[in-house]
Amino acid sequence: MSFISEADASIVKKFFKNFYRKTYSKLYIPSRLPEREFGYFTFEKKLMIRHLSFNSPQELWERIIEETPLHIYHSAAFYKYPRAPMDAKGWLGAELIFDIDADHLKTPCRKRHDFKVCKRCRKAYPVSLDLCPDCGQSLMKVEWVCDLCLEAAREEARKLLSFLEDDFGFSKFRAAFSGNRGYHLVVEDESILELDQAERKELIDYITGTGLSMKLMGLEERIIDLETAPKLEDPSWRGRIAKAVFELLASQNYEVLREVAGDSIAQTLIDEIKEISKALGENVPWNLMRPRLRRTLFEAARELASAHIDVVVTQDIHRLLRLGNSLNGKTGLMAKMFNPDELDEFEPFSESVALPMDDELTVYVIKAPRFKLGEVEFEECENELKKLPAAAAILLLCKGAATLP
Amino acid sequence: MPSTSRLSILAKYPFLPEARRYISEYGLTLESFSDPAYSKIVERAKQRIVDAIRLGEGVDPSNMSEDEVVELASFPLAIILIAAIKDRFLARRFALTEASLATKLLLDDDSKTILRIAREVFGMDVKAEEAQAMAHEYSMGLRDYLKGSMTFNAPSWKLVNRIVIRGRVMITINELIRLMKDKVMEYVLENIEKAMSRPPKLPQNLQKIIDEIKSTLPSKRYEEEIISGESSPEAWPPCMKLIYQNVMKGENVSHFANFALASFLINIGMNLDDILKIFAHRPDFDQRIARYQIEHIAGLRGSRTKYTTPSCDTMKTNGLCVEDGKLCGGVKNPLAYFRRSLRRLRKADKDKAEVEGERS
Repeated sequence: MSFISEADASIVKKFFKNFYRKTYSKLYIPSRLPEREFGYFTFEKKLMIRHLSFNSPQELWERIIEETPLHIYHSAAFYKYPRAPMDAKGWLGAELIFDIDADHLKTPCRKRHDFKVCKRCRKAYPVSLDLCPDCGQSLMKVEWVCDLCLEAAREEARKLLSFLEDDFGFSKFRAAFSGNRGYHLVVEDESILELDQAERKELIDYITGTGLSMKLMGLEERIIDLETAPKLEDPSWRGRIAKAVFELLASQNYEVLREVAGDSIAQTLIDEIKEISKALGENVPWNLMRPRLRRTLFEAARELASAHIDVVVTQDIHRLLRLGNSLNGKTGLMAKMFNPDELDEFEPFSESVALPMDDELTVYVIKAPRFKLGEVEFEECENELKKLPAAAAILLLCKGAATLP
Repeated sequence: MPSTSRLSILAKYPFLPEARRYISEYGLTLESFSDPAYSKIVERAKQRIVDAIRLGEGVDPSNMSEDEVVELASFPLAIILIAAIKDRFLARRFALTEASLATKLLLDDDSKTILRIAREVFGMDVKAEEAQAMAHEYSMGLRDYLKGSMTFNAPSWKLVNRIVIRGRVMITINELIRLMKDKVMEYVLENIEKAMSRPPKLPQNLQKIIDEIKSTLPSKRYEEEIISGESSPEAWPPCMKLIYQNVMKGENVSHFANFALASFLINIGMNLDDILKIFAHRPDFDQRIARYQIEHIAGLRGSRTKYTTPSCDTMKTNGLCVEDGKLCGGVKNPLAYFRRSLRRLRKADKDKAEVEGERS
């Protein structure tokens, strides 16, 4: 809970309540509803209320409207006794879930748009400070999310979908924007429901390229046999490695290379790449590379081709997951569900706007970078009293970047 | 009477469902084995068990009887005998030996037969691939592959190093046979369990064989009660207890779990011979190799570094942590749990001694 004041929390709660009163029927109802565990945070307490279950959508809706939670979650798992304590629930299986969070990605924009706020002085400070220079109170971090962050997350989601469809052959998915910094993807195929943690870990390792062996691809031999080395048209990881290396050679994009190899080594490798690129034919010229370049390109390709997912989430077979189409209390945006086939077209900052844009609220903005909601663009501002569309005001209130005057 | 070729496949793979049918049609009962006419079958059944004790995975098809009926009928009989001996270690070792024998025969068999057995007998989701991806002639469904390959540690079995296309994992015929080996083992064990749950009355000559085999078994292997005093499992963390129990039951334990337990036991000061006795419960136990490995972990060989016990984090990563450490009160290494509970046990002993002292 990042609200600056109780009044901020209570006005946001009022808008949340109105939203749920009007649109409860659009909330996602997970399959096998009575076997799922539910949990939620209220606006008032920091503790999650969990081990709940609902026998019908009506029961769930009633509870949500009555309580107006800040965040609502349900289990990816099915239980015999969803209300029992963890070890007595009787696990029956769980969907395979993926969380892609821009927070885990090394987006360069983060340094630019994150800041800290002193709740007492209502002032913004750089992330590097821990205590308020004026009053000495500890500062609260405000993590901003921009188009670049979400584009990076979308790219990871794209790669993930390719692993899930092209490699694993899964066909039943649902996808949602998290309402904040990323995307959730859930595999519903019957065949995965009973996979245990260790088996899920194998899938995770595949998706993240963990344990991928250069040797088994025939790339550690002194003299490379192009017949057995990875080629562009190969399936699975072999093809991914070949394509990524080929692109690195063709585009001469050295940024990743520097990250993998370090600046000092990178330069000699870059000279070698330039030489090789001149004679770049139709496939990867593994045989022309010296072992060190081969290894560096392999590592860079693995980094580029793997999908950066939150591995803890996927391996946890008891994990709670944000309820689709519910509101995210960190932003007031909706955890909007969408068709995974339309990942490329999804526009998070307009499709997830669920609170009114035609209603207005006056708030004191401590700090806000430039942002866009729906069709409306908001200019950067700091220490300013502003009349904003309710959805935008609530976004800032939820983040602790603004407060009621 | 079935044709010879039919008999041949049944004799080679006596775990096939048709083999069972054939035996019941033949009208053999346990009583019939007291008839000297069937002495060859009884002898071969005994030989199967002796092979399990002596050869294990080194079993050789050349020990098979040329008489196919003998080969076929001796298999279920051996299972009944093993069940009557009631030694879990021997049961697993026998299952492993039979599975190894089947593996060796499968390697020489034609692919149609192999595929049929895999699919029809073991229900494996496997098929021949027309367009072979890099010399992989077969493919297995992702889920079956995961279930089957989990206990293998070689990087080449790891999913990330496989060719996986639309839910099919490409495998070679040899890999398929390796996966089938575990299925045969499971099958044999299940049948021993079944036979154990309803023990039949055995004719005298069979009872005599059982006694004979029992007397040749390596005298008393290590049983739980032998571990006493300060290294007793009572003081061990849940993760180590669980691996230990699985080893003692002769179950398949991953390479890493074995390493974790061995390094734990070395670090709590158990002597190497006692550790070796615990690992002797592995069905594929090889005294020489196991001793070398344990001495290596203890730092007596190779790099001469004594290995420390994997941390709780590492145990978690390898899926060996029990209940997310909830039972362990926030320790970071399984050894810390042991030291802590040892202190508690010592204190409890001291308290007890004091109470008793007061009484006297």
